[in-house]
Amino acid sequence: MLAKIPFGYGIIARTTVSSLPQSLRPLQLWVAEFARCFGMTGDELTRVELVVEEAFMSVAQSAFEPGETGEISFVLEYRPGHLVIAVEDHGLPLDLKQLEEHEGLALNLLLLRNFLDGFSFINRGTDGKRLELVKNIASTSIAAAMEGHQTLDGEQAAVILAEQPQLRMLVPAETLALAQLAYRSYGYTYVNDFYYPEKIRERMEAGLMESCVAVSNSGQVIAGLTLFYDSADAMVAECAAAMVDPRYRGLSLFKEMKQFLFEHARSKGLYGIFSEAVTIHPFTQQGNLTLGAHETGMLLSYVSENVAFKKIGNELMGQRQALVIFYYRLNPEPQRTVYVPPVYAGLISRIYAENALNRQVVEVCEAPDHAGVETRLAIRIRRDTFNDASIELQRIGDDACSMIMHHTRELCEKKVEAIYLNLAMASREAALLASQLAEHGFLFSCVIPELEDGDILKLQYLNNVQFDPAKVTVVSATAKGLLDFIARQYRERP
Amino acid sequence: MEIAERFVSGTIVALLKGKMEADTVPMFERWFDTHMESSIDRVVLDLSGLSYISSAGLRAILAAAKQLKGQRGLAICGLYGMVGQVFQVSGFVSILETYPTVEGALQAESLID
Repeated sequence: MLAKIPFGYGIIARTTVSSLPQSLRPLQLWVAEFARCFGMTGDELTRVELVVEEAFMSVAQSAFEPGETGEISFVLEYRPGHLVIAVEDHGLPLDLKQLEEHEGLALNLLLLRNFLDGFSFINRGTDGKRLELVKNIASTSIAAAMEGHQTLDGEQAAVILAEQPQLRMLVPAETLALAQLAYRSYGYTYVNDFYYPEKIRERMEAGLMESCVAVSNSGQVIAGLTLFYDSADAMVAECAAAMVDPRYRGLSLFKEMKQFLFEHARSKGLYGIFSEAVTIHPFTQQGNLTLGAHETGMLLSYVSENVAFKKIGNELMGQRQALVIFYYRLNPEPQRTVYVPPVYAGLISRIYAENALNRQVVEVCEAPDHAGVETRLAIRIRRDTFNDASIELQRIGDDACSMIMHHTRELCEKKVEAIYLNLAMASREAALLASQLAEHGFLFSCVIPELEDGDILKLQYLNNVQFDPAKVTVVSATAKGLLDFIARQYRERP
Repeated sequence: MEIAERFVSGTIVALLKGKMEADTVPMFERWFDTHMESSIDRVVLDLSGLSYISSAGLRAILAAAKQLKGQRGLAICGLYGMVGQVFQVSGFVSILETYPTVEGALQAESLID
């Protein structure tokens, strides 16, 4: 069972030590004592001590000149499902590649990558560097409880409902039912953390997800659909993770749950909901259009976190595929001025018109001089199934384009297949940057309204991934226009 | 970390106990250097008593193996738990001479002879 954690989300502790080796043992004990509070024991604690040593030694040896000592800060942060150990320094500027090539540090980084659940390097410009070491907090999978149960095939075990199922929001105490539904729907092939009731509960309690469920008259959860939030105060959500017990398919539960969730989100005051639709058949797109959603872009080669590996007819989800992004507007959002590069101005204006968003679109050909401002960015890589990366831009300087391309080349060398970059459309600098990146092979992906206190322009970069527009099924003229635009950019990329 | 050593047919067998980390590696290095001065050319390190090893420990063992290269060499045994995992993920199991047990390492030595 998940330990009772005596902390709320956010930073829980910070300490700064000298980079001298004598600091290491007290530091390991300090981190380990906090890790104990998260239920870590035995081997898990030993691994925590190991990653603390490897991270401390990496920074101590790379951030300071030989013979020089400096300060290293350790920050412990509790995020839903994770304990993050951040290591910060103000020493020599380095990027991840230099760190990996640093004589004697390759072994440290190899162990860090293998003994952590997540690892990211954040260059904070004049604020120094930050390594984030992510450890998952143990939780109990429903695997043991479901052992011996068979997943059901809809045709083999269809049931007839005496009454219409009741639709309602799931409460955190019922997360086991949702985990069991994931199992009944997909076996153990679902991509994300749905098999861990405690993790679902944690995310629900943190305001990062909420699910609508359909409950049969015998009280069983037979279908579910979830809203995912980037933060507890987000004004838009992603609608995903549709699950229907195979015995209850064909009852339009998905459509009814979606309508129910849309009404729920509208009454909460959300501005809108976005969702992904596959392009290997037209049905999901048609369903979204019928509900009143509109397209805002496409991801050419995506593996979604919230789809399962399931086979329905010829549909094999979980593989790289093109997806259409839809937005469903729920409530009037603030009027906003958005800055766009000339190359995307026409396309973005059409997207806004289609979605009836109240926007003043301003084309940007040059941005104010911000000489001396250093770019700050973070890179997050998702390996295994996804093999993609996101570049998170925290501050734009004159060197932004060259820095992004430098990191993009590094990611390509690491065989990462798709790279994404979100740009704030309230920023003139970001619009100019989008123009520059278009010349380096970054393609338009989509607009996501109100995602981060304003609209986001998402760009995509494909690394040796073949994209054939002829294999992409789109339904509306808007989607066809988006596909044609992005496919032309893909063909003409350098 | 503690090192308990014994001699078997001209080979030093050393049982390492505790944690082999940045802090304790210098002790191992001093111990090893002492034996190098006495012309020992075969060492078997039994790591079954170690509960922890970091990259600092791996480097020290690799350096020791390099010093014995061309002689009768260095063998590792007793790779269990977290220590075994560190050897696996670092690839050290394939670059060092490893055996499940001390007896296995000593038998291999006699075959080499």
